[in-house]
Amino acid sequence: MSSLFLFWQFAKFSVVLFGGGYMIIPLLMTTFVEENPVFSLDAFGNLLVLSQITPGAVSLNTATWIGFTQRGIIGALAASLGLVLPTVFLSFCAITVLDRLEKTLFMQGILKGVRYAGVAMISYAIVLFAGMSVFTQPVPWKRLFDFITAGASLQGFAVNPVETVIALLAFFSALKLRLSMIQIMISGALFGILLHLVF
Amino acid sequence: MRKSFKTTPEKITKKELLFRSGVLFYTFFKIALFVVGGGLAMLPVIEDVFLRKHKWLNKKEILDMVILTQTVPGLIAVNASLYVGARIAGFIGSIAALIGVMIPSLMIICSIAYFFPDLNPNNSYILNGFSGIRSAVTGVFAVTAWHLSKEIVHSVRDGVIILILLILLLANVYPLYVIVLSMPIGFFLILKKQKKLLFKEKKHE
Repeated sequence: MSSLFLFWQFAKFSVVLFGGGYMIIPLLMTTFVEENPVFSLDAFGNLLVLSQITPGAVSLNTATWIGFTQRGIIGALAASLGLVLPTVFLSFCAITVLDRLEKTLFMQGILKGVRYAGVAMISYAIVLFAGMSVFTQPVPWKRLFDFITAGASLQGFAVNPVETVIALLAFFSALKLRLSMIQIMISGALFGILLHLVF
Repeated sequence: MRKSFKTTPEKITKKELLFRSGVLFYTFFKIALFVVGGGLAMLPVIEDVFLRKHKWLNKKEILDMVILTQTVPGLIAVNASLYVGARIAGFIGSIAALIGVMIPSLMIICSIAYFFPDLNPNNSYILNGFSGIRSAVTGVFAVTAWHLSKEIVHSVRDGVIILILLILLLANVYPLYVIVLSMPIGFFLILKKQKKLLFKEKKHE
């Protein structure tokens, strides 16, 4: 995987990331796990986790990491510059050229549509992450359909009880207790280690 | 009503410009080095430093910053640093702030990736810790999705649109195409709403 390829991929992604970086996870998954399998699913999940718990912009961390594993420092620079440069250009256009950008009909339309896509993307990211934690393997939709209609077997696909408990705890503590992301993730790691010791 | 975003700061001397750029670089470097939780967690810290401590930005400009991060595609941290930099010290300032945001990520991640290149460690404690965090992230994402949909879904139509987009994603359509597809849908809906408004106005006349 060349540095130019990395730069181009991340530049492409950054143009559609409206309202923050969380939308990038499905894009990265498709590109670096499915189309060009440079990471296994587990390794990629660990990479995403590590870029969440290190300080700094999360997607920038992920991009740097992917670039570094592929092409060293040059790759890391190429990937993170790819993620940043389109934004530099676009936000200078927004600041200098376009008056009242958010009031134009065109921009309103794009933003309205992209919000729908945002909800769909994060729901998809939940499914992807659940396949790496709550379930023992990625959700096999086709076999699940056969299972419901014809009762076919679901070899290898099951629910991890410990991970399900942690996910539910995280859900309710983020919703009701309003703990911060880092508090939830540190307690997630502790619960993961402790519960696996017991069960 | 809001006027256009202002870019260039009021006339300042070259010395003041360099000083401000230095402060911008240093501040954003420090924020990116210490704030965990991504761009969204950085915004309150940025507000604290430039609104309360230095008093270089006013409340309206902080609001503009938030609007810009929602309007212009890209990472929140990057958009925020570019706007704050441009507002305080023009082009040079925004580049200084941007480099300040980027360098800690490069430093920290490259050194972690260099010393611990193995993303599938053999230690079972570390593996269990990772899988615990992955489960926690699943839960946190579910909360984000919940808040977002409460804001966006007002009718059955909204729900159906999101469901169709999600099914496309699950059917392995390239995610980029799904985002691009959503744009004309939103545009169409806005046009429809606008037409309705015009129609109503005519009726009133």
